[in-house]
Amino acid sequence: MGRGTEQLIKSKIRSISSTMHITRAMEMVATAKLNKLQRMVKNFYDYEHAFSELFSRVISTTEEFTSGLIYKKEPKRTLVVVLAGDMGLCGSYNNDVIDLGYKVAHDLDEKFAGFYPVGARVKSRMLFDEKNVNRSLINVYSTPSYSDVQSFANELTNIYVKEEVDSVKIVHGYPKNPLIQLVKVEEFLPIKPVKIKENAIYDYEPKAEELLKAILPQYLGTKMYRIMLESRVAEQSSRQNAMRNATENAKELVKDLTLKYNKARQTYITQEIIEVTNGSEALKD
Amino acid sequence: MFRVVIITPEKHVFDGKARFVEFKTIEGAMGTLQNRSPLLAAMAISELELEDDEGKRQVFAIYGGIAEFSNNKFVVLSDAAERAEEIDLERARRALEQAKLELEGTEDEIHGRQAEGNVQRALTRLKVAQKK
Repeated sequence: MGRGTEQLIKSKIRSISSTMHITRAMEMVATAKLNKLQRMVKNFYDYEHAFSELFSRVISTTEEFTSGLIYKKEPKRTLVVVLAGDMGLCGSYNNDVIDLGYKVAHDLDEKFAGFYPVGARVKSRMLFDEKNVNRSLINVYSTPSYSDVQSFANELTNIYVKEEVDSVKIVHGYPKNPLIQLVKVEEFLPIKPVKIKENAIYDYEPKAEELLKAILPQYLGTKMYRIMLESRVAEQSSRQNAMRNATENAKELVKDLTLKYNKARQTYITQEIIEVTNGSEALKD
Repeated sequence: MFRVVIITPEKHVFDGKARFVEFKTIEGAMGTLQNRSPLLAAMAISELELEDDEGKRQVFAIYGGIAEFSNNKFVVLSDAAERAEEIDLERARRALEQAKLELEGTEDEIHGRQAEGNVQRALTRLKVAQKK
């Protein structure tokens, strides 16, 4: 053992600490984004809660409402929207979502009509796996604005209305709690109305059927925005956890390597002293 | 006096007491005082004016959505809404020009309808901005 080992360990320590700086910074960024998202989610839940209540009230009073968007019969061609991140470094989050997407497609078998990847990671993996991807939405790095989300919901509705498919499912991640992110499948179209018992008598302006027709796009936009926000929260908390673990691991590694470095240095010094004393002993005789 | 709440997916625009609200549904203009019978209305892209508990007039631009009046609470759920004070008059003017140009430039139906909506929004913004 000589100076070489020491230098080697030293450069390793240096490299790991700089990685640690980066992962710690990324963790902080994820935390900041998460905080912002959580404020948005809180406000949005108020909106969504009020809206879905109104929506089921309206839909319950409309008996003979017919729209292509409402569930009628078992769908035969399903478009699977797989919604995950544009960026990596968030643990297994992106791949968990994509894997469930593949599973859903596999289970649908003949009824499967194609994927619609949302997020650069999803698209690139689907291309790598040689899946057929006709449409995609990528590079939505920042938190999507409501109007963007509404136009995405409208686009899906258009695909549905043009009868390319008769059902749209969305696979996306959602946060169960800050430490656990799960993936689920949601039916986006057709809409399955939830009827409630309604006692109060309302004035409708315009009449209920037309009112319902007017707010259907808003309903879908609201649903999509919730999905987007939830999956964004899941992604960021997943990234926060992954980066926290990376920082912890790096800390551990640096600790071990420092110990090794000190040992190597000590061995070297001891050896040199032995050599010197041996030398002087030999000279004495 | 009754409570008025205007919420969009992105923020709470207004939450307070009012004596009188004036708004436009897709069928036409409406107004309401307190103790009205329950109402559900589809909102037009238009302005909403209310008189708050101090008798001050407040104007908002509402970009569609749905409104409910029940138990002396008036809730407006809209894709987007703005207070008159938040609107920049100059920018609103430019946006209107832009939207008009776009409307002239499009021919297919879906984009045409979208462009129409944009013009309507821009017009409303401008109108509301001038009232502040």
